Amino acid sequence: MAQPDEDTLIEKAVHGDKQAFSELVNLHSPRIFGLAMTLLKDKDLADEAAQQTFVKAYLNLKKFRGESKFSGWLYRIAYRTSLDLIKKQKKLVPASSDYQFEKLTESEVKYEAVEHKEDWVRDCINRLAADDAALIRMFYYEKLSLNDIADTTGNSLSNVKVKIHRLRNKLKEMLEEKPEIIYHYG
Amino acid sequence: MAKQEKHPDFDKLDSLISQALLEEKQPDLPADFSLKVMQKIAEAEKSEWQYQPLIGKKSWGFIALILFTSALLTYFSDSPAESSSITEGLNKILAPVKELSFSWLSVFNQSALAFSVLSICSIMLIYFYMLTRKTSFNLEL
Repeated sequence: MAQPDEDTLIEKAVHGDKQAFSELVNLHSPRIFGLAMTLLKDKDLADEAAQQTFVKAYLNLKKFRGESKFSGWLYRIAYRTSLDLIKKQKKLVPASSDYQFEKLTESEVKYEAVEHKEDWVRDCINRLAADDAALIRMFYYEKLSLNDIADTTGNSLSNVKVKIHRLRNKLKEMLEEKPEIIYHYG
Repeated sequence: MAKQEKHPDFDKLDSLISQALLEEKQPDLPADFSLKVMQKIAEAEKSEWQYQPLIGKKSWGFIALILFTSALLTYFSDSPAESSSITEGLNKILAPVKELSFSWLSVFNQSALAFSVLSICSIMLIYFYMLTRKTSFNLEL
């Protein structure tokens, strides 16, 4: 039997069909959990944030008017829920403006960068502030448009453009510690 | 993907970041994630019922009724002997209102009435403030 499409599931869930909502949870939970992990960097907290996201979504489903994508709406809730949890847990890693990139010593760099360039890049991203890492994830992994990112994070479009531009520069600067990565890529 | 710059290094950088994130092993979802969510939803729905009757437009009528009744009781309790009929009661209620245009003090001198009404209003406002905080989830959706 063919799977019902997302719109049908949403329609059913709005009318109280929990089975339909459960299918929506299965459909979107990996992305939501991934975002929560990027922001919270803790599996238990990310689990909590992802669960809260879906509970909030269910309780506010009638407010979803279908003007934006359901996934984007969920993503927005997940982003704000995760930030709220960070504030509660007081585990916020240094804010973007205060962030100072710490240069690694040679002894800390244990792998051959050219062979493991992706690991190195991921490591650099993980060393960014949580909200910056989330921006990078939205832009490069989720391929969200700048407008969608602005909508999700509650920032203006110009603010998002500036932030992403600065983050690219910062990542470039970080990667240039291992010039063979950026110049020998491809 | 929107590009901010066309510098060759940024093109390389963009490709490298995208590639690195795509190849990243996504974290495994905790076991029974969906089940846990549905359980939480059931719990949230259960806890919602106690707030439900007071939320919405009807609640304001309910509050007004409580305030009016409390004010009425407080006022009559000051002089129970004189409150034998509805007409007398209404006259007594309207009396301070009539005096209102002449002197605010004359109204507030009836301290029991003023104090009771203000106290009840304050309690209800605090209660509603807490209620809103409990149910809104600060979502701004």
